[in-house]
Amino acid sequence: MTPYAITTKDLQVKLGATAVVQGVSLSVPEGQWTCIVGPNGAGKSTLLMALAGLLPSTGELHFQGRPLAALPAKERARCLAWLGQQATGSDDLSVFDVVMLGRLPYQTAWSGASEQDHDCVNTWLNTLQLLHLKDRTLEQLSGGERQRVLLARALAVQAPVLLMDEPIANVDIPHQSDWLQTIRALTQQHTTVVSVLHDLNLALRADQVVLMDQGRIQIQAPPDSPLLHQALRDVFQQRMAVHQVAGQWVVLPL
Amino acid sequence: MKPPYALTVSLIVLSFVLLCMGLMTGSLGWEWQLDWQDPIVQDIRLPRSVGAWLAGALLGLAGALSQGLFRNPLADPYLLGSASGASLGVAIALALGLWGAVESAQLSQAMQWWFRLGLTGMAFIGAWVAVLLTLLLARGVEQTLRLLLAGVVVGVVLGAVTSLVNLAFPQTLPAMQSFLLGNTSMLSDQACVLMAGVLVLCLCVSWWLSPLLDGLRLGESTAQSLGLRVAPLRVALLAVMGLATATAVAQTGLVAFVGLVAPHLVRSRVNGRTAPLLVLSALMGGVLLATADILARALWAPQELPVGVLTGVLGGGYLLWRLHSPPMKAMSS
Amino acid sequence: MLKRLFLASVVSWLQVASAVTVVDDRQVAVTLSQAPKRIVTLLPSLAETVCVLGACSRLVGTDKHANWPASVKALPKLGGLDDTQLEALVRLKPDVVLLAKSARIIHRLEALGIAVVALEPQTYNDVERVLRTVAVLLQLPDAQGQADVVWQSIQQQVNRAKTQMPVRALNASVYLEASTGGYAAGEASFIGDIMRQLGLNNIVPISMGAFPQLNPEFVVRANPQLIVLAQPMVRQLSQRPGWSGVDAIKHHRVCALAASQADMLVRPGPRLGEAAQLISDCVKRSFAS
Repeated sequence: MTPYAITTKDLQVKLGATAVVQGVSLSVPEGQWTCIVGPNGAGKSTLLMALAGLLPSTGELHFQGRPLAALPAKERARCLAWLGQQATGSDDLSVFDVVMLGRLPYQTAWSGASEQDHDCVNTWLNTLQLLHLKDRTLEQLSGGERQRVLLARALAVQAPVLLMDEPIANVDIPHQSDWLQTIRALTQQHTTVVSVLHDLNLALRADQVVLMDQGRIQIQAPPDSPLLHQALRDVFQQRMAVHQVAGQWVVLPL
Repeated sequence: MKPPYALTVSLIVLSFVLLCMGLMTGSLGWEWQLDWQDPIVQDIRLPRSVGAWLAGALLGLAGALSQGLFRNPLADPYLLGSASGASLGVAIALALGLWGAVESAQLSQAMQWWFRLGLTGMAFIGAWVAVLLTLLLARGVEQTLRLLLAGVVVGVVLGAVTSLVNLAFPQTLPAMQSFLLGNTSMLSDQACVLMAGVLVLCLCVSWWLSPLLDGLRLGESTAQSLGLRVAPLRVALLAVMGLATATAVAQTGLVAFVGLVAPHLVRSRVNGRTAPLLVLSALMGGVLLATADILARALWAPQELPVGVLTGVLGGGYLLWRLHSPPMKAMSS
Repeated sequence: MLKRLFLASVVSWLQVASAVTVVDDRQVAVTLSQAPKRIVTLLPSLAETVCVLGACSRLVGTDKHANWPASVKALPKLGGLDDTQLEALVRLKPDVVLLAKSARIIHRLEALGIAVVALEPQTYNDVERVLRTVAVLLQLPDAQGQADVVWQSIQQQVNRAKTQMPVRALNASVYLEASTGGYAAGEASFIGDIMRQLGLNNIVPISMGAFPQLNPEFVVRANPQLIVLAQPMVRQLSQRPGWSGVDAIKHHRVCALAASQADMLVRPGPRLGEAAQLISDCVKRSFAS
C-alpha cells in the first residue's frame, strides 16, 4: 500500500459564512505528483491553503499519519512548502535574498545564513537558470522570471511535501518544460508534489489528477482513466475533448 | 551581499564625533575649549547630547519596525496614535498642574499621584493608552489595513480632545507647543540611563523577532507557511515599537520625521535580512537627532530652536536630494 | 421764540460737547456722539480699567476671563479672547466695545455698525496711556484728573512695594519662567517691566524679546539669585540637570506663584500695583531665610 503524505476526511473550509470546500476526503500519495484541476471558483486554492495548514478547517487532516494541527510551526514549515497563487515579494528584494528566505525554517535570528543555506540557494538558482539574475531586484525582472524566482524560494525549503498554486502561469514553454523535469526529479527523490494548475495539458502529465467542482472532489484518478476524461468533459460542460497525441494526453477546447 | 560593516562603523564614529561636538556647543554657541571639570559640561551638555542620540536611536528603531510590520515605506512610529496619546497625557498634566499645589489640599490622593508622575510619566502612559485603544478598535492585529485605520481614528480623536483641553486652559499653550515640536533641553542622567536600557532591550528583542519581518516581505500567508506564527509575533513587535516610541516621546516630546527618515537613509546599503536594518536605523536615528540637537543650540544661541523643526529640515532635505540625484546602483557591492 | 432759540443752541452745544473722539491702538479715530452707557469689554485688563475709573455699573458684558472686581463675575460672559459669541454680544446692544487690537472680531463688529475701540496694553507705559484713553472715552467729568488720581495711586502702590523690598534683594538677578518648556519672561515683557521697577535685574535682556525660549545652560551660567515661576513647577526645579548649583536654588530663593496670582502678572492693567506688591511680598519671603 502506498503510504500517503496527506490524508483528509470530510474536510470543510469556511470563508466567512460560506463553505468554500466541503466533504473533501483526499489521499495524496507519497513520492508522486498530484495535480488538482477544476473550473474557476471550484475551491482549489482554498483547498491547497487548508492542506498547508494556512486556513482553519474542520474535519480530519493528517500529515504523514499525524494530525497536522499537532505539528509545531517550525516543523511543519520544514515538512510542507507552500507557494501561493498571487505570490508577491517586496520589489526591492534581490533574487538571491528572495530564495534565501525559503531557508527561514532552518535559521534563527542569531544564526543567520549557513554554508548549507548558501549552497542550497545557489543550487536551486542554477537548476532554474536564475544564476545570472542573482543580484537583480524583483522589480527589474519580467513576470515569468519573477515567478521562477518565487518557485525557487519554495524549492529551497527542501520540504518532503511541496504544495504549489499556479506556479508557472506566466512562464514560457522552455521553462515549462524545465519545470516538468524538475518535478519529475523531485518525485524520483521521493518528494511529494501537489499542484493546482489550470493548464490541463500539463495537469494530465501528473501521476494523479484530482478534479474539483463547487467545493467538492468529483474524482481522483490517474490521467489515463476514462472515468476521469468523462468527468472532465462533464465538469467543463462538454466544451473540450481529450485526445492522445504522441503518447501524452492532450485537451483541446471545442 | 556583504554585511554593511563600513556603514555601521562610520555611523558609530560619527556618533562619537557628534557627542564631542555636543559637549562643545552651549548657550554661547560654539566653544573650542572644553573644560571637562565644568559642571555645565558634565551635568547639562553630556546628558543632553547622549540623551538626544538615545531618543533618536529609539525613534529610528521604531520607524524601521513600523515600516517592516506594515510593509509601507511611509510608515512612522506614530502610526498607532501614540503621538496623539502622549500629547493628550501632557495636556492633561499641564492642565492639572495649573490648579496649583497651593490648592492641592483640596485634591484627592489620586490627584497627588498625577503630580508625581509628572509630564514624562503622563506622556508615556498616554502613548500606551492610545496604542491599546488602537489595538482594541482594530480587534487584534490580523488585518493591517484595519490596524492602520484604527490608528488614524484614534490619532484624530485624541488630537481633538487635546485641542479641547488646550482651549479650556489656554495658559498651557506655550508649554504644549514646546512638547509638540520636540525639546531636548532638560534631559537628565536618569533619562539617559532609562532610554539606554530600553534601547538595548528593544534592540535585542526586535533582533530576535526579526525573522517575522523577513518573512512578511513575501506576504503574510507565505510567512506563515515558513513557520512564523504571524499574529503573536506581530503583537510582540508592535509592543516593542510602542515601548520605544513611548519612551522617546516621553523624554523629548514629539520629534518629527526621525522615525520615518532614518530607515530610508540606510536602506540602500542593507539588503537581505531585516535585523541589520534595525540596528542601522537606530544608529542613523541617533545621528540625526544628535545633529539636530547641536544645531538647535548653536544656530541662535542663547535661544533654542525647537529640535523637531530641525529634524524636519535635515531629514526632508536629504530625501529631497536623493530624489533629484541620479538613481544610485544599490547592488554595487 | 428767543427762548426756543436759546434752548436749541444750548442743546446743540451740549451735544457737540458730548461727542468725543479717541484714537485707538490701530491708529483709528473713533467718535462717539454721547457718553457710552452700555460697554462691553473683551479683554480682562480693559474691564479692570473701566471699573477702576468708577464706571463699573456701565459694563453690560465681558469676556469669560474677566474676574475682577467681584461684581464683574456676575456679568454676562461672551466667550474667550478669540471665540466671542457674536449674537449674545449684539443682543446686549452695547454703545461701544473695548477689545484687543489683535481680536479677529473687529471687522465683523464694525460691519454691524457697532463702535469698536481697540486697546491692547502690553507694557508699563501702555497701562497709563490706556487708562487716560478710557477715561476720555467714558466722558468722565475731568477725565484727565480722574486718570491722574488712579495712576498716582498705582504708582504709590508700586513705590510702597519697592520700599518693602529687602535690601539684599535690590539689584539681585532674577530669572522668571513664564511657562514650562523653557520660556522665560524677559525685560521686554510686562512682568519684566514690573521687576525692573522694583529694582530687580532680569537675566534676559531686552534684546532677546519678551518670551524667548532659552537654552537651560544660559540660566545656569547667569546664576540668578532669585527664580520666579508657577507653583507646580517648583518641585522639579532642583532636579533639572545642572541646576542644583544655581545660587537661587542653593539658597532656596524661589518665588512660587499660584495660578490665581499668575493672572495678575500677565494682565497689563490697573492692578499692576497689586502685582508689584505680590512680587515684593514673595521676594521678601524668599530672602527672609
